[in-house]
Amino acid sequence: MEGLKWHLSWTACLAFFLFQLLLGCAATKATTGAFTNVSNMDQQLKRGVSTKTEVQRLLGAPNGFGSSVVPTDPSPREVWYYEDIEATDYKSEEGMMTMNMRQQILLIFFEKGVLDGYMWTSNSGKVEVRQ
Amino acid sequence: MKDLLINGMILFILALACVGLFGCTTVSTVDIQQSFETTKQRKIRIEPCANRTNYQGSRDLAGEATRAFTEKMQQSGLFEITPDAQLVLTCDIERFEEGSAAKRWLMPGWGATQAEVVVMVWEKPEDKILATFRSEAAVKAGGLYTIGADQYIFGAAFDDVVKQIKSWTSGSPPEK
Repeated sequence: MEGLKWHLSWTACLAFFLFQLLLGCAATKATTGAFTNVSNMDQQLKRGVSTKTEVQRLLGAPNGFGSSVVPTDPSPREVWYYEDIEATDYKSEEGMMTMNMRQQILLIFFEKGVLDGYMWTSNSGKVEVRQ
Repeated sequence: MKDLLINGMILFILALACVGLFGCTTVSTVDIQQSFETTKQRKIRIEPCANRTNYQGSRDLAGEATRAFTEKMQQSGLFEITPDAQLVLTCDIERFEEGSAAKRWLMPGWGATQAEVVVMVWEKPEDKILATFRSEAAVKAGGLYTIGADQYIFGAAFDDVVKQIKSWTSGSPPEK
């Protein structure tokens, strides 16, 4: 009876560690925050028409605020800043940890309270770390 | 027997203290665009929260967050909530992780329950943003003592937001 208990305990421990290992190998996703898909932004927002409220409804709260002056045009523009960093496909195999990363930055320009333009940029890369 | 009871009580108090210490934590960011004018604004309108997360479950996060936020603002007594107010509060849920108390019990940090919310204060009809309050609440440890954290996590995040709004309306610097 003692032998059976001992065997069951070790089987449970082994199952637990195998579960942990499996979890370690599973693909995961981590992000620094919400970021709206900007692919159809042109259809949903209109330059010179859309208000800040409409932009906020579509894109959410910006991560930062500011203002700018374009060299040839002295009227200041308000700028909203959105960003996120996303890490996907985190893997740890044979002592090598790999992860795909992607950063997106979106600047929204307003002139006199209405949308004047935007700039979106994205970069991605692979991170490899030998453990 | 008496010693055993006392030891048990001490252990229980220590366990509760640990939950208190490592239970729910909040991190906030405040962006003040304009100082608050006490004489001008005493009424607010709260817009329904928008869910911007990738949450795939069956819960109505937007509804839960809207209820929690409205309740916290009412309890604070800072403003009168009316549908025609010129001061408008919008609310976004930026992150939600349901987490698991069982996972936290197995390993602190694993299965964390998290919620990040952003509240923007607008002055209408000028469409002017007065302030933005962001708060992230998390329960990362506490094991089985933290069962149900996914139910109160929005409340914890909005408590923090309300605390920051209170500082802003009183003209004091944001609370740490």
